[in-house]
Amino acid sequence: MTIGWLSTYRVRVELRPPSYFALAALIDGPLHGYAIAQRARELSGGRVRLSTGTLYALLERALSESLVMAGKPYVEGGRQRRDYTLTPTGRALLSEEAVRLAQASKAVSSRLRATSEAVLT
Amino acid sequence: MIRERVGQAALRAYPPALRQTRGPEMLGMLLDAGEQSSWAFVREIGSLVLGGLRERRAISARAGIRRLIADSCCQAVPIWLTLWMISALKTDVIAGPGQRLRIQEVVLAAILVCALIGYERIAALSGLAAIVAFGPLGPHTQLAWLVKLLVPIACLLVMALAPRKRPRDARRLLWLLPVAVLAALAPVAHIGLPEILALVSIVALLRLFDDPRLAVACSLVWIILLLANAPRPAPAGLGLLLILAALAAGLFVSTIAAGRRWIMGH
Repeated sequence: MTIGWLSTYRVRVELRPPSYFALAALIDGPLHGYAIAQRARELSGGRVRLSTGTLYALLERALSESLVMAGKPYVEGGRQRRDYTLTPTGRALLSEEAVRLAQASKAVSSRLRATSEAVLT
Repeated sequence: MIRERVGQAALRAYPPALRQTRGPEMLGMLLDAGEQSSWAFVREIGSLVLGGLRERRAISARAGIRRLIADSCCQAVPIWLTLWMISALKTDVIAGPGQRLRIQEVVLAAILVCALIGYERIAALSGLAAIVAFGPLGPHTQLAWLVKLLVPIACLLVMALAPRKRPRDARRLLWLLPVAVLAALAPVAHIGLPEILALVSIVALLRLFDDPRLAVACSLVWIILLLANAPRPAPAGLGLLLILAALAAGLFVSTIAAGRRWIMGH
């Protein structure tokens, strides 16, 4: 369903952790599906575990929104692979999200510090 | 080898187009991820099946409510015609082999064949013409008859105006085989049309998660049956209520959830 205001709304929606770390896994260069899942797990400190179904759903949406590009399929170790690359759009979205998360974290941390000082005094 | 086969079977949950483009690499990742342990493989399979069903649901939702309803009307027509054919064949089986098919039944069979192959607009227009030619429509038609024909006429009109865009395929005629078997079994096993429709409705309910169209189609045919048996609507009425309730919930959840998932997906 394509509804005008919803597509506008989508631009402002933040990335959820699985998508954030899946895209972040591609910062250093193209990776295939399983490598993306492993890298996302490393980057998230083991918190994000992307299963095959989840990862490919994320990749399909990222492809449809030109956040990633799919390479040509190849065979490695008897298994078919395809590398995915972060596009400039994907990099920009990721960067925006990283800034947003940093700002959110900073705001909450400073409030926590301020209130804990007030509690102590 | 067994894992590969299980994986390929699980991939069938995905829509064919996606399976074709991403299937082999998904299978590769599944086998890699499942190498850690049997439990990891089982978990991956579960996630894959769920992912496939979600993709199908998203496709249904993306089609839009209007298209979903139009498709349901297009599906309801062959189901209704099939039930009519079974009913006609059942009567002929009871009457004996000497009974000749009437012209109406031949025309209905031809319309059903057209609808199944994919000539939906031709089938719909022929169906409407058949209702005018063979039906009770005329200057002295009673209101009760008009009400009974309202849903079939509406479905045929929708089918004529908004047929499904799907490739024509004569292999769909294989659906007539179980119909013939049911028609042959019906008098012996005392299977009635509500029972046959209930079987189709169970399949439709199982598919509500990813595609509500068959459920909507079944509910339309239940309404046709209910109105056709207006003086004694008990079994059909109960089935109708159940299907309509499940349909409303399924249609709403499926469309909204998949649409929301698409929008909030990141």
